[in-house]
Amino acid sequence: MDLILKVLSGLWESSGFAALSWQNGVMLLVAFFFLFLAIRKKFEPLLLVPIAFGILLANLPGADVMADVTGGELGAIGQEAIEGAHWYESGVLRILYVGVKSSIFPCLIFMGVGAMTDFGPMLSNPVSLILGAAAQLGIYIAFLIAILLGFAPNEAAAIAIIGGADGPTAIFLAAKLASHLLAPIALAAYSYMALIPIIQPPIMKLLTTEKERQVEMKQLRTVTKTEKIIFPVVVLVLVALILPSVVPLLGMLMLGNLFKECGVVDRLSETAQNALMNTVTIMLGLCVGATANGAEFLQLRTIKIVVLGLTAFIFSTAGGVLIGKILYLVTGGKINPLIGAAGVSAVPMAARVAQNEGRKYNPANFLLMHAMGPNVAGVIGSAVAAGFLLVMFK
Amino acid sequence: MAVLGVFEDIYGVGAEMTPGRALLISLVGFLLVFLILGFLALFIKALGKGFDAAGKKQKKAPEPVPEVPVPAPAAPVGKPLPPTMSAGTLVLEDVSEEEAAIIMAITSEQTGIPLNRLEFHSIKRLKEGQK
Repeated sequence: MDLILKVLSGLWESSGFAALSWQNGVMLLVAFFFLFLAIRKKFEPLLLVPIAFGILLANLPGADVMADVTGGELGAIGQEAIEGAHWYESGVLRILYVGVKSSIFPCLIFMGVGAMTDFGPMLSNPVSLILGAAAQLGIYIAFLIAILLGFAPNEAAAIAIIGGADGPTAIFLAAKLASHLLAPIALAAYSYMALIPIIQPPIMKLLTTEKERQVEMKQLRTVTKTEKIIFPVVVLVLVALILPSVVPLLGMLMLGNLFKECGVVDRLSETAQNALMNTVTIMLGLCVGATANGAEFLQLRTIKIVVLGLTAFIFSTAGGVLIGKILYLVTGGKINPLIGAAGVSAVPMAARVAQNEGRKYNPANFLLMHAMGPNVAGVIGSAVAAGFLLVMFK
Repeated sequence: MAVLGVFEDIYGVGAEMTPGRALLISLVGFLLVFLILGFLALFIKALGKGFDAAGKKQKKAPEPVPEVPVPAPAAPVGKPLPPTMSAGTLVLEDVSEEEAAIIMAITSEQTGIPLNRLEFHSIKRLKEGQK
């Protein structure tokens, strides 16, 4: 009898149940909730499923998928080195995490985004770039509030970039400036991107009149293929000369776009858009989720980051719409201010929201292509904003 | 809170991040995004004008007389199309005429735009998994 009890006691002590902390328990519930949102509600499922599963794996006690035997060389904070251990003896997701820490994954994702992006609407209506710039307002408002809330400048900058509504950019900057905040920042960024159809419409409605929302915009000019080929190369050179820190992100974005537009590397374009993009998305999502360890994640600062992220989104949307209103007045009513809200990146969801809102007030209105201009300009805008913050605080 | 990077060069090593400085950083950052994207807008505008001018020049150049007679357009120029017709030449890829007609009718119905104001260029059947 004594032997059986000892065996059972040993089994219990070596099981995950004994090592399960309340923080791990809460994070497992969070993982289940995210899986529900992704699978049942279809909220950004391509990213939320791997992220949720990463959270699940990282919070299973004893699994040690994020163990760092090097004592921090692979990006772990507060883990001690094991004497004589090699880096490849670390947890499997910790090794993959090097792709996040080194910014390889966000940059590769940007290449895929570039290969899927049509800059045509922006090229045909250059004023879109002004709307894309205006919709970065939330980044700087959030930065200011984060400083007032007591965050360090590098942390404030990493949190503020959530307002750019651009997942890879948020991960890129957070990994560089405040890697200990990567999980809450990435989760907030992707969660709010999924919630754009809920967050944006009330702000758009509040800041515009019914007359403005009904504006039908004229057909865009036709952009030649040569323009589309010249654009990524020249823009990269111009922006990189002004702000070199933006090159990793913008360079990969423009490389992907050149693959798409040049028409001679269809196989590379196809790979960047599909196979590579999907592979990196799986690894990025898993690794980001796996950084959400219960003990680190469940803190007051996470709630602050979530609130700051929402604030940033709201102000970014407002910034785009308000500059849209100014353009409406300046152009004598030719610009529908609703397309300004699409300047918050989140391609193409934000453009779809502008289209749907426009059609609510004028069923014959087609704003989608007009909104795609600020939408892709927002991608460039958030990359520039990230480059600026990197120069300031790296 | 120590200020890092470029602002450390300006305010000195270990300088504090005051709300005033944070506001200044925010203003400079926002302005910089506007300047860079505004500069790009001007560049794109100039590029577009250049291409439009080049396109007009090409159009003005005398065209050789075609040997084969050009087929008559679907509708006379200047005369509005009947409400049940759409403009342009339609290319069908792996789609039957009946299916194309249904797609065009649905598009018109869903968008609330009469067929004579719509122009379809091609209708293509997507393969499984293709976007």
